Amino acid sequence: MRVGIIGYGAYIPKYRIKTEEICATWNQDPNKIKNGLLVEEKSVPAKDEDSITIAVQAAQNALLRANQTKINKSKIGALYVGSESPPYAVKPSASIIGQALNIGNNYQAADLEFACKAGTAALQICYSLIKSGQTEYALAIGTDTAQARPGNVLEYSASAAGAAFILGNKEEEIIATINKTLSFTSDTPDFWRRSLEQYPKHAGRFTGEESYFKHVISATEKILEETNLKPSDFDFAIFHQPNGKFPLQAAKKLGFTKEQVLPGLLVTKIGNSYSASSPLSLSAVLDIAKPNQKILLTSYGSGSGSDSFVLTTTENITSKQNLAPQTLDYVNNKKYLKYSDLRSI
Amino acid sequence: MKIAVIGAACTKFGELWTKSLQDLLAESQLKALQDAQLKPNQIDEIFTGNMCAGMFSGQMHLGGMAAQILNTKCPSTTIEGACASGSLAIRAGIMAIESGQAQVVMVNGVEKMTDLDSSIITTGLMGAGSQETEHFVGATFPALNALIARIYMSEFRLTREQLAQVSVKNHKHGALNPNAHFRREVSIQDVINSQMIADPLTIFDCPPISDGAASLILASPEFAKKYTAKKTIPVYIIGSGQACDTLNLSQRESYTELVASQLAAKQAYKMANVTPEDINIAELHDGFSIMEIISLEDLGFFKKGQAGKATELGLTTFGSKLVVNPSGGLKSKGHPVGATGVSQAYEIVKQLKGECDKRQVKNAKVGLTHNIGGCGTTAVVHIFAQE
Amino acid sequence: MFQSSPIPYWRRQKENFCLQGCKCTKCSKFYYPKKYLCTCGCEKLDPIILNGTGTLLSFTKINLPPAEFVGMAPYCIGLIVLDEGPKIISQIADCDDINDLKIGMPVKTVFRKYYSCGKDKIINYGLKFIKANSHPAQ
Repeated sequence: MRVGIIGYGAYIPKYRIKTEEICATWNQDPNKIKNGLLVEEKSVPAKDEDSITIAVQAAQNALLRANQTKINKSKIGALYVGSESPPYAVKPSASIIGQALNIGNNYQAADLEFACKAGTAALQICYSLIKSGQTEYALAIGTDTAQARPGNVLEYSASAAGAAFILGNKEEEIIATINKTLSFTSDTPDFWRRSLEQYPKHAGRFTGEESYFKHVISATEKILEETNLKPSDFDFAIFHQPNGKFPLQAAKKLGFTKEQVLPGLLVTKIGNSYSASSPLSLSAVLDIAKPNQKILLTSYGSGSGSDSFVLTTTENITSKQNLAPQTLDYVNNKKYLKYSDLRSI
Repeated sequence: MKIAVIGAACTKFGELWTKSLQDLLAESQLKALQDAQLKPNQIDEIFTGNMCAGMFSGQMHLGGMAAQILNTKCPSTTIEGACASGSLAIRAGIMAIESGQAQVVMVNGVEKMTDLDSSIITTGLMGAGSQETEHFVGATFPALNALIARIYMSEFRLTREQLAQVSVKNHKHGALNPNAHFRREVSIQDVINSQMIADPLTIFDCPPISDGAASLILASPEFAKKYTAKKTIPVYIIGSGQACDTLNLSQRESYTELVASQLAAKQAYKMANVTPEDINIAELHDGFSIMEIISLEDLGFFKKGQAGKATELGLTTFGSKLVVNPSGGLKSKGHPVGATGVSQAYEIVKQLKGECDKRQVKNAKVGLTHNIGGCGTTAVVHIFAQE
Repeated sequence: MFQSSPIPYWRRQKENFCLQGCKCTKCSKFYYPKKYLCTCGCEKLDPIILNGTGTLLSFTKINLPPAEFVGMAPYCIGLIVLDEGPKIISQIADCDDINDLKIGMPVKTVFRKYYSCGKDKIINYGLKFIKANSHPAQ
């Protein structure tokens, strides 16, 4: 059975804070930070936004593209949302999102956590539920309002956004087939947040080679092997973006080109939206992809794991791209804040 | 209708730290009895207007409190209709007398607002509107009045200065009132440049948060006849009107008038057999400056869209044939919510008796009180005259 | 007290999250929030989800908020007439400058947080309105 994306949507809050603004507060050199991280500015939520409201917005855009009047929302039999910043430690975001979207009561749901790859984990679960025949339609969301300790280097990149995908199995509705997905997982303590702590901690340079690169490269190599594809077969390559340098370095190591990565490279303009990061890049790529193009996506979540996907767009994609605001529309719709405008969430 | 007002009292209005809700109620009740030279056992029934004692003091059942203060066992009831609670208590008193159930009724209004932070007061006052749809979205009372002000100003070209003049005039009057919360004159620039509460309304366009109480003693004409043989001539309530409009501001049809005010005024004028031209003094509900503008028109004193100009020209202050809010109004006299309606009546009664000293309106013969609850959900109008 | 109870909030989920109003089965008049008795006299009104688009009739910006909204101020309030006819008072989201608002501006709903009475209390979500641009992005 063919399973794929029938609707996708992004949402990025309109507020931004520049790297220079954060540097000025902590007396750091903006050029050093910008050249080191390749992050110029990042998105921050409005006072009345959180990972749930962002998820609802993204999902509403996904429903617009899936043409909700046709698919009948109450046929969505699963809703999984991945986030590191759920407003409740106990009380699901999924059910609040489901109520806001008015999808009825006949769906299974849960919130997921796996650092920055919880959104792609949701995608995998939804894919599997449809492939197994458990449900006709499923909604997967990655959303975050990421927080970092003030003054810590993560503060420059921890940002807010959401991306949502409605999956289905009807050929006439699918805009991007999921050809294959697999994961590479290990217990690697590179980045964590204890239950009652407000901010995460990380293990410095250990977050590179043994963490990000090992998992991203291992997962990607395995999926290429199992699909019998090589990097040059792809039109787009998306890798998780904790900063602007890592995805480009990973691409180079794997044999992908800069040109394959750039269309999905959003971190320079909006920062790292954690669980939304790879999903958001996927939505940016789907906005511009033509029919029959191949997309490689490998996410990374600290702790650690990488989810890898091979997708192929269909003839149906072109007519769906303009049915909702595009990812770049949100990237470019912005208002700058001062550091003093930020509130701790 | 002819209901005699044989006693009237009012406490100071303001931030009265040393006075509790009960202290204020007791003060005004006892002063009113003194003014009427009556004993508590001569009171047949008591009505007490109050909005927020439950929320701000945890004290409901003010009917019981009022009776306890006077050591009486007579019927005693709390009346609530948001900011119109005081006038509604007067109406209840009138109805008790008109029905023959009572000969002498004490009417109180009381509110204690300054024990809590102003943000909690703001929350409490939103109960005058729709909790589910206005409170939930954080639409405060100043915000609802600001929505109305913006529409009125846009439709009738009311200028910011004309709107500010309402507050300027009322502060000028209040400076002459020893009981007023604020006794300082302000200028138009003071009003416009003061703290913005809900655009375009600044702090001087909004009612203050005040403590206070007021009481009246109402009597049947028969009792008054026996009474006046010994005492001074009372003032009479000769007309009463009340009407309602929607609780949710969003369900109104018009935002440049209060239909409830128009209907209540019509009833009262008819009952009193007077027209707006006959009114010399009016205590209008100027909780928000825009409300005085709109109410001047609703009550028939000025044509639609003209009240701003009239205020600017000084047609509602001393020296004109109609003096509006000689007490200083809610703006300057203060607005202890449940007490306001009764304190408006107190002012009119004192004016008609010639007891207002520096703020006495010359030749005051017929007076009107206008009291609204919420943004015009309830409106109550009373008309007073000398014998 | 009642503001922090989750139960009244739960009762109004469909109204607050989905803009569920009602429609008179006799005269087809739309209402928001629900009405018990239509002005035409009919008592049978069916629930209906409204579209969420409308026009701004008036607006203000609140600087002095009530207790539950202290962390959210300043914020804008609008009086909106929905395309189906009923009017609604709501917040206008993402409005930093009141001069960006104009009477007659087209608006549409967005799902946002309203308030929470404390760090340990339930979060109240609901619909607010934003400018509906001709450009698809908000």
